[in-house]
Amino acid sequence: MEDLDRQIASVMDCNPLQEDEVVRLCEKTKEILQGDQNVPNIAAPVTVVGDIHGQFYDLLELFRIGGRAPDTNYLFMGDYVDRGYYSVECVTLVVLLKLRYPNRVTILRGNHESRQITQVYGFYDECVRKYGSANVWKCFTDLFDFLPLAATIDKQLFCPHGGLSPSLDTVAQMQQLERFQEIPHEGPICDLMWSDPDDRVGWGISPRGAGYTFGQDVSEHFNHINGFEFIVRAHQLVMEGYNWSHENAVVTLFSAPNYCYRCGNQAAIMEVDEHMHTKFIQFDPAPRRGGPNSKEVTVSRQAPEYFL
Amino acid sequence: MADRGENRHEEAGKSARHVAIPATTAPWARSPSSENVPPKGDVMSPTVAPWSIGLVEPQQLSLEEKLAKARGSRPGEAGAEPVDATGNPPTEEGEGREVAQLSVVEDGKPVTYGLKVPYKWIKTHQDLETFKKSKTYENIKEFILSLNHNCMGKKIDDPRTLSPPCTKVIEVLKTMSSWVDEIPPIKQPMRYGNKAFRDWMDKAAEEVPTMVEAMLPDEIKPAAIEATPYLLGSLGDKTRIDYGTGHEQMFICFLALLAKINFFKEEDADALALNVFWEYLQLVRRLQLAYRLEPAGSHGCWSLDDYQFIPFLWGSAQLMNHPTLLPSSIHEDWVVNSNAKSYFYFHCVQFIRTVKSGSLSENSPMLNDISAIATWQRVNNGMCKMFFAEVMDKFPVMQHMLFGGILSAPTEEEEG
Repeated sequence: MEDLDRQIASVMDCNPLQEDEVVRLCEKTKEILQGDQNVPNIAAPVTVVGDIHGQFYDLLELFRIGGRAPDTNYLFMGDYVDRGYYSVECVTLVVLLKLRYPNRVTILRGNHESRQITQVYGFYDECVRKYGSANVWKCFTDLFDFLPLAATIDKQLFCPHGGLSPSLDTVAQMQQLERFQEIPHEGPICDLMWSDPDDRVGWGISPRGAGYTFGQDVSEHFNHINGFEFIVRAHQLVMEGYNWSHENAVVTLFSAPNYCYRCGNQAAIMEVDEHMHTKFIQFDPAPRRGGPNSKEVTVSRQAPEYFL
Repeated sequence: MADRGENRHEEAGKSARHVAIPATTAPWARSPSSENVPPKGDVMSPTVAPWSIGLVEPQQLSLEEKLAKARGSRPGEAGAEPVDATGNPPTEEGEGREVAQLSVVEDGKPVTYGLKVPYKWIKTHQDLETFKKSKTYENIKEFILSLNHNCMGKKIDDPRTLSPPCTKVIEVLKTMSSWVDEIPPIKQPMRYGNKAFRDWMDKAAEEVPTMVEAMLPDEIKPAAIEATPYLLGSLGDKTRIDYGTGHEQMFICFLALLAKINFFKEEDADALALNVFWEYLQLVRRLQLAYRLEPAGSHGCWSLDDYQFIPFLWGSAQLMNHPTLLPSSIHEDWVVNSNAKSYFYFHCVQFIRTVKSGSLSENSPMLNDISAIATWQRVNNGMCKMFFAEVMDKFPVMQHMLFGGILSAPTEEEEG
């Protein structure tokens, strides 16, 4: 415990763990996640978080605004890594919090918690850059296979990273899936990570090449037969940080402000209180760091491979 | 640009040697797993699935077939009845069909092209491999490298006399830019990209065909049917409201096509890169900002830029052998600002500094790393390697490539 608290404090100061510490962290967290259901049910109150994408200082800002674990319970809906500069720090921190407070912190799998995607969108390169080898990347991506696929909050809200699947009508069906594997290219697990709500009714081919688009009729039907009030999902950039669609059958939550350093969007988190009342809190990028003593970007410049 | 056959080949050969393009090997071959290594450099959309590409089967299943399969894989009993399906838009009629003929003189010999409505041909990774060995690929590569060569040591704002063809293309681009004033962004909350972009694209689809036709002299006017879709395809994605280097590549093909049928001449090369492409860049920058085009599938801080590539390539060529401006000069604000209108590279750095928050070392670590390289020569070499590896040889980008009679799909022979 003391060890974990020390590590949490260190990572919150933007110092990544040592490689052997990451190895131990991932092994222990696997043991905890192993027993979790595919779709765990979480008791309110809880604060729900959308995509983070390596924006570490904004994640710290999020904790400043939403409260620190374990004072606040958290449900993270995935996409901790890729695109931002600090994927290592972000994923290390949420995994540390899960291990330290397993009953107060829930971390789901997003479509970026995958070996294939992280090799394309940055996390792999970042690990090699920061640790000099791909070992840390391997540990984390092996751990990702253990993450739950979605969650429910007091059986009233359904929280996947992406959306619905034509292969899945009920949560009971989701519980039967064999989840301990890389995210497949198609099928129900893939859809939960990849699908998006759409203005068109019914199911549609996703322009992303994975998952589906689903219309309001699909969302309403799913909520009706499963007894959900609405679906809370992440996965898409939204200007205000949260965005209702399908006449309040679905809300999209995005927690990376000024995404990719340039999108100008606000971020949001959703607080669910013990009476299941929901409240959205928007936030802006963390005040800029910088200056000669700043810890950011300590890696020296090295010519990328093409330029050697 | 083919009217000075021999000379031209010499030029191209020289430029190709000059930049020392290696064989196009996978640069990210250090990938940790040899199986299912995804393509890098997806630049066409928000996170897309790297495997969605090149897999013949899922690509060709209709939505109904996919749904039937999906429902069949339900864990437990089947539940609800299928809801209404929304399919893909039907393919344009007449795609790939020969609609007219065009005769031009190429390398001193008459050549007749069977003009076609441009169509997509690259459907699988194997197709891409075939394309990479094709004459069309070689043409485009040669075109890009010869303009790269032409940029060396030249500024955008050097005095330059533009030929009527170059002036006409610039006028078309300026007219398109003026439509942004006519179609302002909608002031309503929306997810991200501004839906007014769709109206802008509708206007382009309506007006551009006539404008391209008007631009071409009578003897090559029929080529408008081929050239237009490349220009329209270079402006961004109407459905997803995004823009990426695949769109930029489409504009390069538009220019290469017109050069191939002698609309542009050899002596236009400088102006094509430094004036026409510059004008295109001004247009798409405006679209990106005005309609908030999503930074298409970018790798975030781990990519060179969210939108463009060519200006880094030709921009580094411009600066080769410059007496005072060095790769490390990008860290000096005043140098960047005072050179942003003369050099593509500084324009791009300035754009990043304007639109991105934070330090360059954090929001653009790759550019930051490149700034440590001693000479522009080496930067340009690297940019060339990277361009072909990350754009021209990448399935996610090139699956959108259009083929017609002029930039033709690989022949059966080439498919061998």
